[in-house]
Amino acid sequence: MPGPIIRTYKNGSIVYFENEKSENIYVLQRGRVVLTSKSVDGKDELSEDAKLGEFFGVRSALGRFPREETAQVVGGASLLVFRVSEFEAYAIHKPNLMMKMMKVFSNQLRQFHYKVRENLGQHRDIKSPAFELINVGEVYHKLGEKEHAWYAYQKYIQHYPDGTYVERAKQLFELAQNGGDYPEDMEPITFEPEKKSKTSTPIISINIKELYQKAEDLRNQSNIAESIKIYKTISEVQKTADMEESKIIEASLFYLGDGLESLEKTEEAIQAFSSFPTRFPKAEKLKESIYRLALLNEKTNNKEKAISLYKKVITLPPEDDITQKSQSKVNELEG
Amino acid sequence: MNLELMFDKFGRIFDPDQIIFCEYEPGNDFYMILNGQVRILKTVGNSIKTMDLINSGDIFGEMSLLDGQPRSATAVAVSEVRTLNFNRENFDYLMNKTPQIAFKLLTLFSTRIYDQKRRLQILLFDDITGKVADVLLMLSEKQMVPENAKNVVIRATQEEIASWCGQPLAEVQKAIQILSKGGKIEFQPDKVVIHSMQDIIRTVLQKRKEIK
Repeated sequence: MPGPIIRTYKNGSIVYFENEKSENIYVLQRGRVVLTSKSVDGKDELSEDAKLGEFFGVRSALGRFPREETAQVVGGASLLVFRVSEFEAYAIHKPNLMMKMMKVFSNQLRQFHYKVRENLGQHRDIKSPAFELINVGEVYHKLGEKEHAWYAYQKYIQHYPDGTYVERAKQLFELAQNGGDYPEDMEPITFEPEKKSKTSTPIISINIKELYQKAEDLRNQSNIAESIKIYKTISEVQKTADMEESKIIEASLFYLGDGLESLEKTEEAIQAFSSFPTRFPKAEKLKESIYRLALLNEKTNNKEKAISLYKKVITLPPEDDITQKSQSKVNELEG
Repeated sequence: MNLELMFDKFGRIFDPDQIIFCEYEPGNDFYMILNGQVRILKTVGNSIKTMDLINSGDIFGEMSLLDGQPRSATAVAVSEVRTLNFNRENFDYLMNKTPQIAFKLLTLFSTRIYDQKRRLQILLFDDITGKVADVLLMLSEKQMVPENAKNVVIRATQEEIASWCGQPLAEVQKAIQILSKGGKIEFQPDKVVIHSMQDIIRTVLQKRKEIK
């Protein structure tokens, strides 16, 4: 296949006109080429210089549509001219070039797409893909396309496990899975922004405090098995609204370990206490939880680990009962 | 490049009527159809509209690939569909080992950008008759109709034209009547006959000038 050719142009020459169809792709080697196009609404004229060493006229040649701009030479220029097939033969050995163009094109495509939606009054869609995703599921469900509805609900639950509509999605997901029709008495879905910590804070804080009280009551009634279920739920909460909540979560993790230990679920108890120092390095119960972890390691014949943990406890203030007990343990185990 | 050999590595099969991805689902991969047909759909209010039917050799889902934005449409397998599935992780492999596919993707981006730009041009057209004429022109461009063609048949309903225009149906119908009365087009239930392409092109250019 013949390679690209070099063409030289005089001042004022037109390389190509807007609306002309051509399969040539150019690289500016020397001189100056001005690209003049109209804005999409046709009201403004835009112009820019082709850059030295860079391709121009690519999109219209590859897509085989009319040129979107006029390319005119200012003061003389020399250009490298590729046919589409020659450009392909060249580009496929230059993955970086293709990647660079792909990124530029992808970005341009996205921008046009966005503007189209904006002009159709659909730009709200882009702001809340979560809402739109469950809505698509509901549209399918109402049309009787249960499998497609099921897919959309499933994706909503997967991508937005804490989403505003997750309970709704779960309910409809189960229905669709069992071949159920869209419920006639379903309240219509209304757009609400996805949960952000600020808006959700009051709901979560009420729940956490109430739940914690419930767990404490159960523990006081010696119903350890039930209490640790709740402590576990609370301990898995990652975001907190205030210090009080953080302290509740710390305490829940501690009492989860404590409860598991008293139920002789040693492995699980070790897991709970092990996660304590990384999650709450400044917690009040840090020292005690490490001490409990040391005891559990000793119990499971993990002597080395136990010693290092007791030693860690000794370094932590204040000097108290636990410090003394840990010192004795180190002496005993090392002795 | 042997696409069948790549099937071992990147192949994915979909059953008839199986959903491949859903509009607004986050995604970072795209598909190339080896065999079968895929329907591209979009929700419009409370209905689902077919946007396109695509076949072997076609690529879809490419928009989410590079920027990870949610899918802009739903893709459903019409028949059993065999595809190659590429994501960001194996994209480098694609670029280096199968640059022909990467090149095809580049070409596809070019076409899609033009389609969207054309669409935007129509939406921004400040004259309803001009808008409708421009939709007809765009649809004929997609069919690769030569500029001097006569009696060109375009398959489109009035609702579809209204949706391209982004305008209420009643408004679009008025414009269609104007174009029909002028003898430029003839409307039938699911198609339009353009008597002279040059006439439609002239109308579009004229309307554009008037706006300026």
